[in-house]
Amino acid sequence: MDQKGKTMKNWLKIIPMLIVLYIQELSAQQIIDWTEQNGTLGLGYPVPIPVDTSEPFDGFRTYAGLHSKHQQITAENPNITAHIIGQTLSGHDIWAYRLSDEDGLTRYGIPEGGMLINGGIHAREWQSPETTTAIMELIHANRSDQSIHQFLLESTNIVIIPVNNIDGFLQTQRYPRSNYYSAQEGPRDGRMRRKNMRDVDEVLTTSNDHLFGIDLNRNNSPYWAATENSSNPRSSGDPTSIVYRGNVAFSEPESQARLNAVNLLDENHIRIYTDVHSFSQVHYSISTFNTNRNTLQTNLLSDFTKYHAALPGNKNYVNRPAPAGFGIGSTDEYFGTTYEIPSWTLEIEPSGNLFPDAHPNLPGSGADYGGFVNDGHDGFILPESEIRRVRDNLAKAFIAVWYGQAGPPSITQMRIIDPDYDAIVFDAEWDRIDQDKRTLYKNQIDLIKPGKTYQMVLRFDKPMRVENEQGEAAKLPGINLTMNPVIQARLNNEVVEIETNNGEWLNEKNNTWKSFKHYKFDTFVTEFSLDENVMFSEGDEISWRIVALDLLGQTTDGNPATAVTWSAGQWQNLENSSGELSIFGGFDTTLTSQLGAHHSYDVPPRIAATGLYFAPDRAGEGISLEVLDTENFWMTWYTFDDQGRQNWYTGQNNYLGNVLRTPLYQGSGGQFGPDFDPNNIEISQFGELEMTFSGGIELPEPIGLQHFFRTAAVKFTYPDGHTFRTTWEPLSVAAGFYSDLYKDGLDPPIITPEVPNQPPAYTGSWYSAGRSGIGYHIQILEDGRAALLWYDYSPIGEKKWLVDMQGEITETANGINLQFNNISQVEGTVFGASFNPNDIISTPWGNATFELRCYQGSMSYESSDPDYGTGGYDIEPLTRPAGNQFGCQ
Amino acid sequence: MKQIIFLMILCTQVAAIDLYEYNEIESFLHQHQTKSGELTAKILSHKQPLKVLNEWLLSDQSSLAKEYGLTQLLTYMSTMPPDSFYDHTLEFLAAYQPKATQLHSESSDTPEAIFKISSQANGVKNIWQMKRTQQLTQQIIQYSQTPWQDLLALTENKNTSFLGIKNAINDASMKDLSPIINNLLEENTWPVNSGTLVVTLSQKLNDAFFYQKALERLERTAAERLYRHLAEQGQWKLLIAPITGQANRSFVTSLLAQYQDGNPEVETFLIDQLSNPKTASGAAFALSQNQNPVVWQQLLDMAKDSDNKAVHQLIEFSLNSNLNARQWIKKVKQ
Repeated sequence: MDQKGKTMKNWLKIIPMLIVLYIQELSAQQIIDWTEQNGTLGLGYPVPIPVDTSEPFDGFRTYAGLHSKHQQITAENPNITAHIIGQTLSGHDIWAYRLSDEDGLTRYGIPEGGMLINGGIHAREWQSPETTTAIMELIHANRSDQSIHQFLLESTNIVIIPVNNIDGFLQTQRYPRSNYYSAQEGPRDGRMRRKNMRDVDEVLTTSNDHLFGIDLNRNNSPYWAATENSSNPRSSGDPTSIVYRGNVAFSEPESQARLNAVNLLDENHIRIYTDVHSFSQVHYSISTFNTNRNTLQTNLLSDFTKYHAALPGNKNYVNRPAPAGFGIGSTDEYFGTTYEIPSWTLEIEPSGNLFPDAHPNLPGSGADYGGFVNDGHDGFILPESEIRRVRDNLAKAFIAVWYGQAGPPSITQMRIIDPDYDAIVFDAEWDRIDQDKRTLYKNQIDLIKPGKTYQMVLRFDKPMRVENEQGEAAKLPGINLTMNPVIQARLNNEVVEIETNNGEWLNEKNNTWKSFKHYKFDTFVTEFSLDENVMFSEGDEISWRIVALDLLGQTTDGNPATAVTWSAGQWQNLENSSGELSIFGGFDTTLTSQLGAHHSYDVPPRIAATGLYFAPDRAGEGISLEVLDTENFWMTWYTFDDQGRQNWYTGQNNYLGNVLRTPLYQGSGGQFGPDFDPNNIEISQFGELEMTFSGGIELPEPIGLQHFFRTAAVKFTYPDGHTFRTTWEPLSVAAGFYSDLYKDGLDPPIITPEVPNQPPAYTGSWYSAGRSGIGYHIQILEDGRAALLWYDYSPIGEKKWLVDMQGEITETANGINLQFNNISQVEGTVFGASFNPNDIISTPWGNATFELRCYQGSMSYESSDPDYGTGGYDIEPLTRPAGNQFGCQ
Repeated sequence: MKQIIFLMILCTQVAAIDLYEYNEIESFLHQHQTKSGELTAKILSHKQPLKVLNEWLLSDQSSLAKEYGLTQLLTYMSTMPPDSFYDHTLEFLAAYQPKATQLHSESSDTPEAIFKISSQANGVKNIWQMKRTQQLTQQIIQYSQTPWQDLLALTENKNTSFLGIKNAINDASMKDLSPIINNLLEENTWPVNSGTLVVTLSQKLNDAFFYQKALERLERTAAERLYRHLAEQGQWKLLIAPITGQANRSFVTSLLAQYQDGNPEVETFLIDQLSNPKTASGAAFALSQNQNPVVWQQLLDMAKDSDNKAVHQLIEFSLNSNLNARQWIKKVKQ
């Protein structure tokens, strides 16, 4: 090409450039649209237009659609409630949603930690409301997962403000493509509105207001206007500035609404705050002068980052902490400094152009998605194709960090099982005293023998793992930690070798010791054996040292005697391995067990026989226990309610080894006498009962077939999780039964009766068909008496139970007659720990006659109380307990 | 004082950058916005553009001025046809580390580039890629013997831009596209990653039969995208048609919200969906916008006759979310 040609070519290149510059000059302040095609605001991908739907899809929902989804979730889920926390300048209600059960306490009675998150503070950042909504959707969808989502609902108090700046958000959605544009200011108002709508109308073409509004993320103390005199103020007093802070801190109703949201939490237990923005793909975290808080925050954000980076898309969020004592008036500064909690601005992707570059492997802004970056503000316009991944992954990351801020794990219970009998031989559990303190309960049923293989059960106060696709325990992707607890043993401060095998986290709920407690993987089981060569004396105590990591790698509380909470910027009552207060946990060294070469019992721990049981220091209440076969039992607890009225509870479940555990059920709606209608009976659960039986100790003299004496350690757990304990022992010996189902030895269990049709064959529960819900427990005692426990209702519908231990037995041609002339009712004390036997008053009620044959019978009664009068019903057997030497043929 | 100490620390740690004040930047931009792009002119008229670039960057100008020149250059290049002669220049700029910075608006102390040179350069690369892909697509459409397969291969190629393919398809005539359409219809299944391509072809073709086929075969994201398009085009009958596909039916049902007023067929359909767990949520949303008292009464009657708790909740939600419905119910109950 000659020189003239080259010159022409150069001019041809330059002229369009001049045209571009001229156009830029012309577009000093015009309304220009974002476009898919190349242009001043060309994106290179379709311009997202909000769709009026409540359903999540690959795109952005309108505000109406998002709000509808929030309200739908609230309508379906009793643990998610909607609250109006303010109104915008246009009068739109600002909503916050509380995700928590009602009681404000964890399953273990500790005040729940509060998690607060704010979305949509800057109108144009559409990623934010979708993300906050996705968190609600995720928790709601998994509310019954028996894992971390259910744990969060039951053990934390989450408050979500999905869209704080509703007016601004609506403005951006009103003009999803259009905004004012100048080369100097860039795009403002319309789709690119950031601020609220103070002094702004909704008409985009009104040109004299398009720069107005307050930046809600500069409208906060304590650093409101703090950068006023800085050479680089990030907050301005100029109403047209994009960072205009307003006339005074919290001047705006949206800012007040955020403060009002705190009322939905317990202010003393707030533990974390996040303000969700875009873009830059970083955490802008605040620092305070509390180094512990700063350290814990750094760890938490690192966990967030690691986990999120392992999710599809592998997006890495970098932490950029600010220095302490300095700020721009942002909302995270307010919450972080006021409450001394982890607090940060989350800037959702795409990546930005920070220095140093937080994402050197990414081009930045819309180019992260193949966009054109004709204007750097395209980072606020995430392609529709990315939003599903963005919101779903961030929702998971928030679940993880809130799980962490629910608290470090602590061991709630340790059990040692003798696998020869599936029997618990050692039980240690932390019982709640109050919200701050616990006391250690211990039950050494047998001595632990070095060299013997046992199972150890460790229970924790939170789910410690998640479930993978194969149903197995797994870690969170990206978070590296030791899968199983570390278990060590010491005797007199010397290390004792311990071998562990086949450790597993449990994901099944059943009625045996091999079950999780409240959540999948809150319980760990392992085989173990102590070094058989260890030198010890009988009864020496071995000290256990146990440490485990939760899903974020937080270590166990070294001493669960004090409950861990958060205040003053750190964990309180958290002890390390040395038992000293620390911001990190360590080995739990609080548990000890006794060693022995010999059993501390004469026959192994098993479920005791059918019979009546009571606590000598709680005379006036008791249970009837019926062992139905080798797997099932039925029991009735005759006791009182908290008002001092009689009450009876029933339980029925399967069992394994030496433990019976059952929810307790109570009925209501009945009435004494002929007007009883079983259709009116309503059953509700009231707590849970657990009975752990000891090994058998030989009696000085056998009682009937019973040569051994067993007691049961009893734990009753109230619905709110607190407990009371007592010990039950046999009140009477039922004729025909050995002290356990296995004839006291290792024989196979007794199922088939050996002696027919004697009076003891009638021991069991009886009822009248058509009057299901009330009945009679009859026991033929070893000393020739008969016992009657009659559970019914009073004429006015109160629960009523009647007792007579002095029944007379008469054999008939084809059965027996039982005459109870001393039926009495007791009252005067209350249920549970406040039970006082000295308050018991027993009053005569009347008499009853039972005529029983093997498979049918009748009863009649006469009460001295005219309200009860006389009556009678045909009855039939309800149960025939197993192990009875006597039976019916 | 703390700010000064902090800035000193920042300066010592990041001596490679210049931190500009807001007023400085404003003043500079104001002065330079009408000036011609000196660097642009030099680069475009020189046979060794990288050399020019290096000299520019080594010059005595402020980093602000230098990088402003770079951004002007890139803005111009974004309008140029792709020119492989400048590919190296673009690569250089795509890896450029900025020096002219300002404090990020959302952070107390993090600098960010004033001109997003690297991002912008990557953006220009993407623009050129789009244009190149468009040309390639046009050639495939016009000349390929196996256009459908070639187009699929093109979409899978990471060095192409789907917008280019889309533009070429939109520019092509129906006659040119018919071999591709026929190819598609002959195949029993379509590859999972063909979704976006099929949606583009569907929109161009605008044929009910093809829409139906596409909705049956496309994976969820693409199918929902197509349903959205149909909703925008007023093709509500396809939204209520019993098409079995991957799209979330609740989402599809929710799109009917705008078509229910005065349309008994849609209203009846929506009410029926309340009993279908797969569509109920979307139906409830749509019905929450219904303004027909007859429908409100039908919902009340349905709630009374049903013992399904979920249906009750959804009806209650729909009516409670509707201000006019609430007022009407209050009036009727009085």
